[in-house]
Amino acid sequence: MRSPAFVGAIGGAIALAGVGLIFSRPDVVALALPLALWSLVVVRPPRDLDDERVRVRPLPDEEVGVLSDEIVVACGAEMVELEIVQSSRRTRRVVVPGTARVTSRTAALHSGPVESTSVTGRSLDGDAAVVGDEWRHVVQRRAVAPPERALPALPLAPRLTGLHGSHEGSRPGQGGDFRDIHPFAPGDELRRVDWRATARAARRPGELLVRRTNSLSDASVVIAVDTADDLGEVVATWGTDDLERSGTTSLDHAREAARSIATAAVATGDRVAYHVLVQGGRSVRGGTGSRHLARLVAAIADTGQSGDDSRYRRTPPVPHGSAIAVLSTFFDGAAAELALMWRAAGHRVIAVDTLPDLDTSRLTEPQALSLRIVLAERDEVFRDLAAAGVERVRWGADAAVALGMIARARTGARR
Amino acid sequence: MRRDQIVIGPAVSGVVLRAAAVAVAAGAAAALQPALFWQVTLVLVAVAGAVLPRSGMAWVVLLVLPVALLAGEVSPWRAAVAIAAVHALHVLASLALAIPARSRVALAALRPTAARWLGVQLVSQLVAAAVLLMPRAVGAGIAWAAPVGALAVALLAIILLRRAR
Repeated sequence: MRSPAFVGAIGGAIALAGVGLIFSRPDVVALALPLALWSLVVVRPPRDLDDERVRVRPLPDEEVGVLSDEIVVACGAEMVELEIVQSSRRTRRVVVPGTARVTSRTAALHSGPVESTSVTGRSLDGDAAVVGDEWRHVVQRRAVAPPERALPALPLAPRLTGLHGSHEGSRPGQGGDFRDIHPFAPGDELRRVDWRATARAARRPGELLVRRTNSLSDASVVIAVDTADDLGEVVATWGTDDLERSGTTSLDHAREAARSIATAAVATGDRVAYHVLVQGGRSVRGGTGSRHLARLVAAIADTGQSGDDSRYRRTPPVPHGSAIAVLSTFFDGAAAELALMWRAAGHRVIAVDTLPDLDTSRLTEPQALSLRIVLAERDEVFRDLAAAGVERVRWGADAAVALGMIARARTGARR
Repeated sequence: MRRDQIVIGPAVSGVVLRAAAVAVAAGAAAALQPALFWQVTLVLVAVAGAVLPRSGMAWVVLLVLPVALLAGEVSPWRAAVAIAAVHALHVLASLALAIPARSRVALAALRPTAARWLGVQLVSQLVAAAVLLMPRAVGAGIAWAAPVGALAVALLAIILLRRAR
């Protein structure tokens, strides 16, 4: 597309030459010369300038919390105007040569998925007199891993499985504490024979007594994240997409809690599964080990707010006798219903409240009243959960202590 | 460090291009136009063109500048200044039409523009100097050049308009 500058140049050249001729002034005629030459130079058949030649690639992070992307422009035009949106919050326009590399650095204010850089552009040729059509958007999506908090103790599942964990089970096996002295039976190892006990307590000649220990078993931990809401500290930003002024959000807390619980559980040898409680939400099947933890962290970092139309929570399958951490703000009661259902099925359910400490400044009187009402309804949900035996932990500064207290208060049944 | 950064190398703001257009207009007015009224008028129109590039006021400045030349005698150096100013104003106005004021413009992106300006200026200034430094004829002289010039202007107009389509 040619800009109106062409009309200005051609019209100006003709007018100046005409005026110069009318007034017999060669100096005025000479003024038309640069405009005419410019028009002849620039008015070329338009080149194919609309080839979309921009791509974005992530760069290694130079600083913690700063995402760097490289925008590579390779276009035949003299100039390219780029519109760059950083972290979906700041729009910048830059004009660069047709072949250029631009670095975009943006601070990650929140964990989770983010469009670190979104670029569109158009070509400008011939002193911006030939303007190309707008290119399609090229988006670089990144997943920011949440921070991790050390959790010394986690509530134990009511039912232990397997013989390879780090929790002491109730079955005879290896690795656990002393269980009992038992008559030797086929299958017992000879090195288990307790000669002192045999000498003291054997009642018949040839009778051997073996020293038995408990087995070590692993527990099953399920992390279920409710992504219906992403509510920030600043209540005035609720209902907006203003993640710059929102402060820490509930999903920031949820991701941090999920990663911390997963890390602590995998460290103790437990099997950890991860579910996002929306239709089609991501699930990671139960597993253990460092590679499984890496899969979990990637899934957690990629967990963002679900769309408005995904109010339906699916019920993910969980192993029998699991410890289930339900991470939610518990505002609409759907996550609470799931927690109650799981509790009724015999699982140990911990309701992790991810709502951050609220900043109620700048609220109007009706807004403050509305907030009080929804918080009161939420308290009612927590009362129902407590009555059903669901333990509650508020994810705050002392979450590790609270989880440790719950872990010590009830160690779970053994099998 | 600021939260969000774009690194494009040495750059200027889009406002600088528009300010440069006003500066060129003011400089040309001061050099060519002795009347204060026309000087102020030129600057005001240039400012309006810088603030609202789509208004086309920058090209109005191009049409007002010849008034300054017509007011005085033919002078090669005044013509040279006017040729440079007219061309620079046109290029800056063309850039201002497409480049937003709040954008950052990499200096490297302006290199082809500067090269083209220099090339066009070189040819224009040489031709203008050759024409203006030619000895003035006495009597009828080269009066035949007037209809030839008129034909040349008409031909130029036809060529430009056909290529612009």
